[in-house]
Amino acid sequence: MKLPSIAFLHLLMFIISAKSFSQSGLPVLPIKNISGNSVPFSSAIDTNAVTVISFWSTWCVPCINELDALQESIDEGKMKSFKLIAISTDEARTIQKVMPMVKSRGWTFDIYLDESNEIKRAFNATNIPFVIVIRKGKIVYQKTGFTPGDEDVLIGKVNQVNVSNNP
Amino acid sequence: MIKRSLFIYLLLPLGVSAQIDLGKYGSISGSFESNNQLYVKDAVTNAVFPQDRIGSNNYLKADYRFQKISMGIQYEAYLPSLQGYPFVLNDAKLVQKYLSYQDTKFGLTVGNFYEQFGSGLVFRSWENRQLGINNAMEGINLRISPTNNLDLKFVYGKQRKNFDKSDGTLRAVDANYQIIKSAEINSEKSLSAGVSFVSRYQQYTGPDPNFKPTVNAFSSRVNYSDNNSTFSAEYVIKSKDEHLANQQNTNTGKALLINYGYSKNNAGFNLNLRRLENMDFRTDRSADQSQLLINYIPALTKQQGYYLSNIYVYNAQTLGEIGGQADLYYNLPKNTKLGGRYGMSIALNYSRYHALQITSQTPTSFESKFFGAGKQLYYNDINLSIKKKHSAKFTSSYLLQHIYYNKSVVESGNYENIKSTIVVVDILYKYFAKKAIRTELQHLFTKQDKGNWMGILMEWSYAPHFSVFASDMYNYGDAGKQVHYYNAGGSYTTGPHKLLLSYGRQRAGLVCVGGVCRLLPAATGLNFSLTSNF
Repeated sequence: MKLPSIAFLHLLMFIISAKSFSQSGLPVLPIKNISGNSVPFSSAIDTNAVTVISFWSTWCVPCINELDALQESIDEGKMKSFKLIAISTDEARTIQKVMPMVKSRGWTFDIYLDESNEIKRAFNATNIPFVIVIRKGKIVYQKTGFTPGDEDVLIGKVNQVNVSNNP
Repeated sequence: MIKRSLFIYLLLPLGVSAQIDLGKYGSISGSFESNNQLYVKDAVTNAVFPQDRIGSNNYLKADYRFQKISMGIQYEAYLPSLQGYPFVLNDAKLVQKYLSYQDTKFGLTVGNFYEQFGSGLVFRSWENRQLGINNAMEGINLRISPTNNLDLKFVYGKQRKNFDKSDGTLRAVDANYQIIKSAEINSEKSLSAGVSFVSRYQQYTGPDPNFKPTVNAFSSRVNYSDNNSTFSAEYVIKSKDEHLANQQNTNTGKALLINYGYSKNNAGFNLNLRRLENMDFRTDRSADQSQLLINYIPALTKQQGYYLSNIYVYNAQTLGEIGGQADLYYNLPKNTKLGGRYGMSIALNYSRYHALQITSQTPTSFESKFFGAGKQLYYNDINLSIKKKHSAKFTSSYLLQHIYYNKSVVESGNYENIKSTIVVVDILYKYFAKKAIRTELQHLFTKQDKGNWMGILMEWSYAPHFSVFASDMYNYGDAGKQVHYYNAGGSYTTGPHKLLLSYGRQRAGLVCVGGVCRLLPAATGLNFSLTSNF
């Protein structure tokens, strides 16, 4: 009874929950910018444009691949009218590597630090990389993991949201 | 009991997922994670076959948020727990709940919460499901910012211990003052100083009239950052704290951590130095392994992602160690001779840890030179990583690593010291916009322990939904038993939901996070996992 029940009900929950990812009400918490200055989380979001949030870590290879790919898309002008912020979930073991890595890779988007993972928990991001697209304070898209080509799917989503945002 | 709990736990996400967006009445969000294994007998790996051939760890987190107020629960079901987790995790319960008010200047949480002071060297409550660690506090957490530059935090409560609470009580306060804080949100100039005080009380009922049931720890720190450089230093001192995990050591606990980073143009440099002395700190004197840790002391070494680089991993020695690590990052610019059209990234890392230089010793204490390094080497690691994108379709990455690993110290016991060299070639071929093949070829050379290993991984992905993989780690250098640790499986991802199914062998070994290691037992079987966010 145990195994079929677990499998069936997990699958059922997966199908139903997969239909809904719209989430309103962003966390009211402070977050640190790359220098360690504490700022309100709401100030990191652009309320007039689509904001893409990427949760990443210096030790997470798919996360770095994703941010490299997004930087390349920005350089090539594929993503328009949006703000990208990357929230580092590095804790004490690796947080000191964030700034040297960001500078050396030439990433031009805003970096924030979530050393205690408070923001990550507030968004219920279980695993990284985890991407969220926010429009007018509401989450309109979420994605876990990264495989090559995901960046094009994300670009398409952002551009689609932008079109619906500016009819 | 378990069946009833299972029913409730499975219905709960179905209910909340249907009413996620409540409009002006707020919102409900959450996550669900389920890790399951069907064990099969395998005489080759000497895997211990569990009494119940199914292991299932499940976590449901749900939060309701209305403007500045939030509340939530975490429900966990171990039906029973996967092998390697505490055997007492064999039930399904609502283990965490909280009510919270958060504003930019004021925050109050009652119930379960996670918190961290500074780098966590003196206090951090956190969760790591892979390790089976969840030392969430249960009590009150208050955060106040009386001025624009001052942040205060207060913590009072007990730590979570599996389905129970710690015997000891924790009281803690932290103050952080921003000496330089630019009005610019993304300004890179900052100077702050902070102090923390953490006090643990656990009733003592033993015969020693001089035994102090309260242990106090004090921490001070400074952080500086400007456009190109960062500097931080933290010093912690902890009062006499004899307990099981530190072998009843009576030394005053001390920890010093210094970080420096500099980056300019395409280059970055980072240096970490750390000295630890008797810094194991818990809310219960009888706790050991990963139970009831108050502070967070990770191994300051480079965290690698490849299988064979994770066979000999260091674990911070909280009783005494001195050492550090340095990182050098450099990106060869695009459109240069070496960098090519897409550039090339290079990362060099070096870490080394020694025993303290002990000058005198008794069975329960020692004297040591503060800045002296003992002759005994615990760990040494030098590694070079290179990643180059050759064309829109073809990217290659390389890792060369040399490790010295004092297995007797890190894993406890009497073993030969290990020297190993690891070589990895990782090739990604993105042959269509959304289709890619990735291949990893790995080799570990060593004359000690179980000898040489070779590894291969093949992964095919079709973004954004599908990925399949097959891998093998072959310990061909083990004269006694040459074992293939094969695995094959696939995943399906849609938005924030991911299903993973695989079958194969799991190698016995240490999994280490945050200075805490768990011995993962060998196992063979079918794995199924689901992670979902709503």
